[in-house]
Amino acid sequence: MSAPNLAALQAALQNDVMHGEQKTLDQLSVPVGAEKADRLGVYQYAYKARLISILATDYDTLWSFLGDQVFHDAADRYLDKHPSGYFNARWVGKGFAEYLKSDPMLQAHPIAAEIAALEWTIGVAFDAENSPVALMEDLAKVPAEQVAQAIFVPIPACTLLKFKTNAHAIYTALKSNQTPPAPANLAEETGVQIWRLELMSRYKKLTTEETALLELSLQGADFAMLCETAAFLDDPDTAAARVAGCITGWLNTGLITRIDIG
Amino acid sequence: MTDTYAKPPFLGFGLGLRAQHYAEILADNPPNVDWFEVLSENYMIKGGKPLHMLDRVREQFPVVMHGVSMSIASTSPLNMDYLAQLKSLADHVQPRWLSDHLCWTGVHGKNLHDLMPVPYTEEALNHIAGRISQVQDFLGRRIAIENVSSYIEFKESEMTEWEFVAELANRADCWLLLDVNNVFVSGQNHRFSETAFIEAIPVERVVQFHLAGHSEGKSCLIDTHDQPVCDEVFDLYEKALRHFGPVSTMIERDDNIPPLAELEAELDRARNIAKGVLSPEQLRRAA
Ligand SMILES: [Fe+2]
Repeated sequence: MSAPNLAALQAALQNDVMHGEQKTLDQLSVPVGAEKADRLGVYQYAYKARLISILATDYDTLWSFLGDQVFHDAADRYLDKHPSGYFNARWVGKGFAEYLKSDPMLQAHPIAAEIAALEWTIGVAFDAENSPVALMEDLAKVPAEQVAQAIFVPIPACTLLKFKTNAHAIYTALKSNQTPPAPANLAEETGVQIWRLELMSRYKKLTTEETALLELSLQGADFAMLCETAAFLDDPDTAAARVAGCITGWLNTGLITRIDIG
Repeated sequence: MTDTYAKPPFLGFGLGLRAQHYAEILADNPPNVDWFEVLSENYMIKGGKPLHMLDRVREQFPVVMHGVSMSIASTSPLNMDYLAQLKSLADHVQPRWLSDHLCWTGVHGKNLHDLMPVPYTEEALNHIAGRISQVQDFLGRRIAIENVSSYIEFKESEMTEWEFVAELANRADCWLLLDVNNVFVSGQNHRFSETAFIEAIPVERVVQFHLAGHSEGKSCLIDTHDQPVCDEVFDLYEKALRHFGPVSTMIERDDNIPPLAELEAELDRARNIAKGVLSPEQLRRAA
């Protein structure tokens, strides 16, 4: 270490700031009339306040759902357990949704983690990688005999989340300043597709079949496999037509970056 | 190709680029702002609207990059991943210069996301000067280092902050970004003469001024960037102009962000102060 005294001071001061301790007071200097503990306290307060405010910005819908106190306390516990190791504050909240699943106060309310996951993923879609978008005319270029092997590759900004609660409905209501429905568990797990169209993040609740088709496409499945799955899920006679309809919807909403032939 | 080691020209009067103002900045009737400073970390992303907007702004205005994550004074190794991303962003943005703070933000893999002060010792001076040189070599350009606001000082300090800053710039052969508000906040908090600070800084090193608002905490002034620049800071800015001559000046506003017009009016106040101190020749911006 090229600067041993500086290294020891930084480690001690960081510890004081993060954990509200005062071990460095003897090393500090403040003018007459000022209290060292107060001045150190400015850094201690700012540390948590800044990070909680970043979480409140990234998760502002969850914040309004939970209310100030519950949100603040959950954020505080998260930061204690997961101090930031990111250089960019953009990612401080990355693990928050996952954390909430085991948060002592909120693990009994899976709705919180699911709203958080939706909100975070919408944020991630916003500045995800740019990519070309495939259009209906690209589909028209696929030779008829190769359609079965066609793979519809989703854009990098596309994510599929699966929810057990009505997080989607609550998020939607809160975003449009409406009274949200009461939290509830869904009869069956439901997919929500999150992506970016032009410069805006979008999200959409999917049917069971749409969820399966998107999940398969994210895994690289081809048209034949999509049709097989659709035939298994519903009327086999209309399966190909239903898959084609779904793909048309994807192509019309910028969800597909290119069509590969497997 | 611009010489990334040559002293950059006077750009006039700028603002920090904030997402709230994208539409107003890019409107048919562009604002009376000579240049923009962008927060590097906000654009260390893969795509989408922020980079799209930055590219539009770059087409119309000179841009400089300002970072908060270099942690140049940290005793942990330089974050090469960060520096690589910074370099790639700079290759894309082609800023007139780029800056970060004379501070550390964390050690041992943790990040406080705050601008932590250092003791003004020979040890720290050597350590930080060496790191600035390494960063400059890696980026292939001179960088500007900014003085921060602080709330504590350290008993082991062997010199004043201004002696430290001046010596650091000479040793590291870097530029300085003089934050006039930070001089004021630290001057009040540590009871030193703000004028002495300004007059000790070598004129040829300073490429940029920051102006910003602060707030009054329980035990000291706090650098919050959430309100207008106060009269005392504008007075100090006038003194700085007398000492340094024309220096590209911008106002930082990070919280409680008003409409662009309000910031333009605040920027006009800086312009008017400069008109009173500098000759029209000095104020002529580089084309
Ligand atoms: Fe500043």
